Amino acid sequence: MVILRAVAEKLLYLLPVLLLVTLATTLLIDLLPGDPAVTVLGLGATPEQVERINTEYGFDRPFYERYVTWLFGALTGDFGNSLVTSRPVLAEITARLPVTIQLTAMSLVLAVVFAIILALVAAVKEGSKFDRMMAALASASMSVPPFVAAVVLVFIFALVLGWSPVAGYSPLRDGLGRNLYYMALPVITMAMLETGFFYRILRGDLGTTLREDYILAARSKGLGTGYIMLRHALRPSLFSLMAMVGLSVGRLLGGSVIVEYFFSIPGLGQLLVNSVTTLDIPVIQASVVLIAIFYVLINSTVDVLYSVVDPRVKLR
Amino acid sequence: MSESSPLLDVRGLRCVIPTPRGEVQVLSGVDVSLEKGQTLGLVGESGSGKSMFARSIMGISPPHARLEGEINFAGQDLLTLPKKAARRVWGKRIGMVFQDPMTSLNPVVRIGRQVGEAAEKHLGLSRQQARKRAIDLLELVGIPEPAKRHRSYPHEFSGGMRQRVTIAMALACEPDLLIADEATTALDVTVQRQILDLVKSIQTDRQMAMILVSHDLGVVSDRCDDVAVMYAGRIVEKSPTDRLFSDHRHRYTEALLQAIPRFDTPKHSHLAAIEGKPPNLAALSTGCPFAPRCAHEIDACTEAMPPMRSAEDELHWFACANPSRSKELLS
Amino acid sequence: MSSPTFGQPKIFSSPMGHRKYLALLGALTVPFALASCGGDADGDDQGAETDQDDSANGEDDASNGEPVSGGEVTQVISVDTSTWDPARLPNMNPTLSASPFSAVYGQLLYSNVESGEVEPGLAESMTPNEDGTVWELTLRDGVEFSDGTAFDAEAVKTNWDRLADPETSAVSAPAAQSFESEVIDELTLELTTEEPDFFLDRVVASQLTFIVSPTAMDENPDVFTDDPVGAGPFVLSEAVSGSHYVYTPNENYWDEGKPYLDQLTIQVIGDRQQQRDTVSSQNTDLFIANAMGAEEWIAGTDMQLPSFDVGGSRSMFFNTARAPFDDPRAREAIALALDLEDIAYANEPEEGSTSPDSLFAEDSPFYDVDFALPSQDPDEAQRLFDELAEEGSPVEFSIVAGGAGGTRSAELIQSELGAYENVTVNLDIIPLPNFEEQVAFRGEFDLAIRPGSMFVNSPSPGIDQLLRTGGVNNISNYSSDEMDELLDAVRAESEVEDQRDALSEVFDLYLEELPWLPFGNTELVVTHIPELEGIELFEEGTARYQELYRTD
Ligand SMILES: Nc1ncnc2c1ncn2[C@@H]1O[C@H](COP(=O)(O)OP(=O)(O)OP(=O)(O)O)[C@@H](O)[C@H]1O
Ligand SMILES: [Mg+2]
Repeated sequence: MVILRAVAEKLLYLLPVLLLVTLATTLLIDLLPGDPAVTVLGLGATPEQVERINTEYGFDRPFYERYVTWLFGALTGDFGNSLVTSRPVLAEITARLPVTIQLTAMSLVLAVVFAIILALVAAVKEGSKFDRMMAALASASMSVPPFVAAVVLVFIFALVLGWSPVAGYSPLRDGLGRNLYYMALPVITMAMLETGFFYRILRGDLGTTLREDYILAARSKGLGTGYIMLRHALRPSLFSLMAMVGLSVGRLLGGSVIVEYFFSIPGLGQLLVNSVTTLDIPVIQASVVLIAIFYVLINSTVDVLYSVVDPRVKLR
Repeated sequence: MSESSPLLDVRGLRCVIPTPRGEVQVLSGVDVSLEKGQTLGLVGESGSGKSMFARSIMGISPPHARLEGEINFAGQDLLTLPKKAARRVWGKRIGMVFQDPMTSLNPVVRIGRQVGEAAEKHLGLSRQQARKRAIDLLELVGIPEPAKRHRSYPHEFSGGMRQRVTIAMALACEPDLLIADEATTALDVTVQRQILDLVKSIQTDRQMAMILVSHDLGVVSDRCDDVAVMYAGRIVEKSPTDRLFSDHRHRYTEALLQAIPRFDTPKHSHLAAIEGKPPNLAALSTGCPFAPRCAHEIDACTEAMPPMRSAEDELHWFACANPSRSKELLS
Repeated sequence: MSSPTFGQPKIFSSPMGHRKYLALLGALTVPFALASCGGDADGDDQGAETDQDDSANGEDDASNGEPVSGGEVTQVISVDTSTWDPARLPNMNPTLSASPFSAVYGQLLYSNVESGEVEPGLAESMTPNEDGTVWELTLRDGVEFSDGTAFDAEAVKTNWDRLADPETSAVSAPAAQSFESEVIDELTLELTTEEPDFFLDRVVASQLTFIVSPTAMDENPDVFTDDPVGAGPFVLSEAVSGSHYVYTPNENYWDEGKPYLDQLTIQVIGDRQQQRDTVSSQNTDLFIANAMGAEEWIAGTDMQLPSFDVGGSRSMFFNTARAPFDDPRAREAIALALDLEDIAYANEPEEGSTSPDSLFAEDSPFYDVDFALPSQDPDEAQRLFDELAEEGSPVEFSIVAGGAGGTRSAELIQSELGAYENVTVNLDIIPLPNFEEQVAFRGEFDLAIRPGSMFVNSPSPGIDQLLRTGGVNNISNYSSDEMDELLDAVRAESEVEDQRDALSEVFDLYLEELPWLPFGNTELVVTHIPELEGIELFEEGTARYQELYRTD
């Protein structure tokens, strides 16, 4: 119950954030180069046609008016229709959202799991060859941006080894196996960078934790190393990692724009790229808001999770 | 175990820690032996190596520390024993209480679990049995409402209560030896006394041997059979408790006794009363390490480290080139 | 990329465009843009006469054996089709929407990718009267849309009327408005133009060829978003927007035994590097694009690279509506001052990137109509610059360009002109979406380097729409009564010989006036697995999917 209240409270903070984000988006779109109507109509656009579109979508109205109209529409779940496909924006987005959520969530989980396993092993073997090698690998993976990682991974796993397709996507409804077959490289691409970040921060915190008296106390009880690492060392070392996870959701969502485009994964990121290119304003607006909501929600969840991991953090 | 061999017999224990500033000789040849049920007080200034000695026995010396010598416990050398076998000694047959109850309990693990887990591992208890045992132990060390409180986290307890928890933790497997490393230094005076009395009574009840580490000769005086005085990684004098007070020989012991604090001195300043600073363990000179601070220094002191020799009988040993004769002085 | 056809309006929107525009999204995306800018285009390109001694020739393939039924084929294209509405079809680029459209809607008429010849599709024939003002379009008997609606004259007229309606804002509205149509009987439609036009069948083939079931348009609100209904060889069975389209054969397809394939998948891969990887790992059966360096892509694989020679060019446009390029001498001076071969190479630094000697493909009857761009003459150029400066109208201008290739070309032009006196050049590098608006719509430019390449396979609508006053591709804002008359004269000729003569006159005037300057050639790359046959391409290189079959 306490947790629910805490979540509700976080959501309250979400409101001003959302207002700001939507406002900023509307403003930013004004600054995008090009005229959406011309882009949609194509080269032969006549001034009359352009005017018709501008009137229909309200692009000719002043900024605040457009914003307020959009906001009221959004509140009732009406985000308008895509300029390009004429489908309702909400339908466009809900078709794409699960893909991005899957991609992001799988990358995140993969990165967290890998980072935890590797950091635990390295921390146990502090100063060993493995520990030093991992430190180097982590720095390396952090300095490799996703688009480079993507190219390298495709080269190795798709071109040389032939284990994976170069690009493409298969929806979950066509089978999990096929879906994972296509998602593997994109997920690994996104997870690599994050694994580096997570590893580094967790390895550092584990090092500190392992010097704590309570770890010595645990060892003096004759407990096994594995048990000590999992039961005594891991949890107290998770705080910075959790903060990092919150941040990394933002990075992942940003990265998904590139990764989805590169691997032709039909997620929100790809939709966003396409809509920016085609100046599909209603879609851009709704996507950005959705991504913002997603981001804030994840970070609120992380805040709440602190109290789960550390009993000393009290929920207010 | 045969009656003849002591429970704990540490011989020539050396501990060297490599640091960027050179190798630190933290322990340079410590001999200690302890019979079943016996209590040894270990005193010395801060930095003299008391904790390092305790940690060496418990297998928790710093990561790169090099240990030499022997730590025989019940006939097995813990230094050469495989880790797995040694772990059946640590926590099961030797328990340790740490100096600071604020840091030696895991803040994110319920205390019941921290108390019971050693028993779960060493005695093969189930989760339930371990929990029950933890509750019993918490009751034993005087935690009120243990059946409820065992689900609490450390931060929900006061310092004294926490130290009781760590004692329960160390006692979980009914060890043969309890090492209390300044178990009360961090607590205030009244609580100190309660805890020490608790430990003492449990020790007597269970016939445990105990090493009581302290700064404070006062703490040691009425609770120990023997006292060993440590300086710069060495035992410099060792004797039955009463004789140490009445007939100490080492000049360092003498200085310590003169510096016994009164109740109104703030804690942790107890032994600072001896003038000068302890030696740099990374650059020990050949002679007696106390010589530079000693009021009775003679030439022999700086020439070579004075060897351990016995005073009167095999029970009292000291290593001083110019020893005091306190007994004669008194009489 | 993109090489939109002339007469197909939206020439600047292109996958390449997307890619280039990505660079603006932020640093993150830049490397992709870089990775791809090698081809500022899949579009522009090189050597029309690609030499492929090493690979089987596509055209021959089809005749190698009897077509076999069965099997599945995957083709990779660059950009998701955002709509199934022919009114919104931006151009006939095979790597954009033309391919998905062709599978579902088939072709009413189609023009051969190389020769430009119009050939029958869902319509049996389209024939003009004596003077080229009345055409008769004859449909096949018994053709039905996949929903069972009759594919009759009324259906075609309904489609065309919709495109002509200003309310529809169709891209192809000018084409649909260029004639009156009348249903003569169930299978016959009569098209009447005001002026003689012996090229009307080509206009129909390139801009009005996709016909949608009128019943579906009436009754199904999703017909243009999710549920296209045509009379083409395939029906859309699964669409994963942004990823791929799966087609199964249209049970109602008129041509017995076709399509041969059991399933067609069109997969969208936007990133150029990934397209290349997909091809070189043979993860696709067919890839068609205006791509560069394809020999390298398929090196070491079994992929075939049949050669197709297509017409068109990469071009720069002068704004003839304002100074300094309202003066033909200024345009001529630029043409004489530059080394066009170098500019072409800067635009697309690949083998075969040259300056065109004809705007038409070798197979076209118009290939050898005299078309000699002025060759470089620095002295004459300098004389013209000086002359203009003396008159008080010095050649001072800025170049609008977008995309990596355009930018490189623009920079080279600037540096080459730096060797001359009395000419000043500024660069205005802008994002692609802006390009269309700023250059084509608002006409705010002096000299614009068109992204990608233009595709030409016929004097009309191709050349016609580039030079005619108000022509859809007349970016130069060029307007000359004399030229319009010459263009009318081309349309008015019924015989190829006479058309060539008339076109030759157009070119003569064009070379005098030079409203736009072609500097590089266009190339079409088709690569496929050896088991795939029946590759017949139309328009800019779109496959006729009913003809594809596998030999294994
Ligand atoms: N990890 C380490 N690396 C190097 N030197 C160390 C390390 N840990 C302890 N020492 C040194 O070892 C010596 C003995 O330390 P130890 O903790 O055993 O002293 P102590 O007698 O327990 O003192 P206190 O009364 O303050 O607890 C000190 O000089 C200390 O500086
Ligand atoms: Mg200590």
